[in-house]
Amino acid sequence: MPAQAPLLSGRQAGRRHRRADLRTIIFRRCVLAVPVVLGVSLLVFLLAGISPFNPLTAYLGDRYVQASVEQRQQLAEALNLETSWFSAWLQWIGSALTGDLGYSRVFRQPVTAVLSERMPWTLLVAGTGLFLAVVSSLLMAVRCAYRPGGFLDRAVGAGATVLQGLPPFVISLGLLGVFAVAAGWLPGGGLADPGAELSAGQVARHMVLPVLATALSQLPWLVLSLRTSTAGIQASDAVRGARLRGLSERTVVRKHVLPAALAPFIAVLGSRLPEVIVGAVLIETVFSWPGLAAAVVSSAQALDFALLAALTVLTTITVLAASLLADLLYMLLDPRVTADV
Amino acid sequence: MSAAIRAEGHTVRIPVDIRGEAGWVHAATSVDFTACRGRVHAVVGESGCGKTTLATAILGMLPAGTRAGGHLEYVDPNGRATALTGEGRAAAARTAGLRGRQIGYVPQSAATYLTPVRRVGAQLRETLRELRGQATAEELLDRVHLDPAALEAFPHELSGGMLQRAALAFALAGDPDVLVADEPISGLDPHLAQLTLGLLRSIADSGTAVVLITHDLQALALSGTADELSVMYAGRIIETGPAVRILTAPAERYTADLLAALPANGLHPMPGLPPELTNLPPDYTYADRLRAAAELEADHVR
Repeated sequence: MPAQAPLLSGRQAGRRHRRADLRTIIFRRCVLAVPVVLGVSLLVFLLAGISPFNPLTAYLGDRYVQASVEQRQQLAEALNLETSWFSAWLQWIGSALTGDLGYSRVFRQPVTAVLSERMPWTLLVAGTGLFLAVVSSLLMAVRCAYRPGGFLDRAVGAGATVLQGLPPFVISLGLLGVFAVAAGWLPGGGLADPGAELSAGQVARHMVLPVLATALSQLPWLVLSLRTSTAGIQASDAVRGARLRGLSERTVVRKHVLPAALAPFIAVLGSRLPEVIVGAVLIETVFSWPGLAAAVVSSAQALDFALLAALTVLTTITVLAASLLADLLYMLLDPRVTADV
Repeated sequence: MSAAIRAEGHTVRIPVDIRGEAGWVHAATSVDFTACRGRVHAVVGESGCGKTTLATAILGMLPAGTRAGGHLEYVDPNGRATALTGEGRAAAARTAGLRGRQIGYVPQSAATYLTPVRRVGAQLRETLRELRGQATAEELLDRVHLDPAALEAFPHELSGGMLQRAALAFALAGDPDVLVADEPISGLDPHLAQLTLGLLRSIADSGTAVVLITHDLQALALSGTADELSVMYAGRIIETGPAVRILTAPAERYTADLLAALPANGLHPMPGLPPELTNLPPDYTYADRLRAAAELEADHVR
């Protein structure tokens, strides 16, 4: 029909427009990330500068009292503690651009080495835990969507609400108490048993509890938000339409309810990443897991500003990247969404 | 001419809760209705007269808690009848088995009928697969005069008229014996409305029983699509018969007023307001509305 031709070619132009929008979004966010990262790092150094704690005390520990004034002076110069916080920041930025993130006093090795050594362990536990939470929340929401308001739906809703009220460290300590201490089925901390070789089997056994704690602390939010969006979609004209044209309940839930619920779910997931990171800090500390998140705690306690600044900037970049990824996925999953560029 | 949908004394009461007060919507009262294969049976009436509830009942999708009395059944070509109303899982399974396969549906709001995040083609092929339809997606679109390029589009990328025809293609996927079209031409311009009515006519001519629910008497009178016409008022069918006869020489005052309200006949407004179907008095008729309207007018004059 000739009358339809302009409409359909307009549609193709719309698609091209969307692809251009995607590129614009990526470019804009990357440009905007630069001042944000600079600002965050500046803030870290400012806080370090006005902090009442003396890094030298943290560095020397008990020996601080024994050290003479000259010794302290020498050490402070060697550790570059005498410069103002602003010039320290400028120095840090300058060397960071060349790939040198400074030296971690608490781990006594370059910051880059600390990061590359600990990053895989954090990714392993946080990634596996989050994956487990996403998969099980999707499975649960699908089961619940078959009968909104049914027994399973209400049980999952109540369970998730209770679980949401528990902070990650309570969940971690609970798991530790039940499975490691009382039952003794699983090891309660570290990467491997004392004296044992660091093997895949050892790590697999040791990561069970931290992964479970991560999954359990992220699960309730995901389940509750997914349940709310599936309930809304169940009542929509489109789902009623799918039933009216004779599709089976299985197809209605999997092909109509779930795809429509996925886009808002991805948005929640992207906005949840800061929570995942905070959760990882607590969980890695409870389980003595040698990841980056645990290093945040050690570096803060020891006033190890080089490492702390690197970790803060890394967290900032991760959060920005996750929210960009969530927005891009939302656009790809829902063809109606147009980029606000 | 064999009956495909048969209603005798079909009565529907739907529970409602208006600001904490429970009530019953008298959506259908003693409805007698027959739709035959090869014919278009139009149901007309003002908004809120119970037309859509009749469509919903034929598809077995009345809301939970609804009480239905009398008979409403689908009669297959061999004369075997299946009840379309009833409560419980058995009734739900019975009507779910008929939907799409024996009884097709064309929705009122085609714009929200399809899942927005999936392409039209993917959803049409899924429907064909599930209903074991013999046609291909392209053939179905051709039947409703739609460009096959629409298969690649997302629902929001099509115009209202295109979506309405796409919805018709979905209704035809299972090659149904009965087609229920609920206000298929509301919101379409006159040209597209005539096109849709023409399609429904040709579907009926190929042997399907078409139930056409509309409030657009104008388009109906212009196109001559309908064979039979039933006029519904306050949940009752007050007049039924050959469409030509009713459109030219109505027996009921209500039908005559409906026709007089058409632009072509001088745009005389309907007197009074249509009744609320919640807790309707059992003997309510159009005469009650005329009387109330006359009283209101008398008050106004004084």
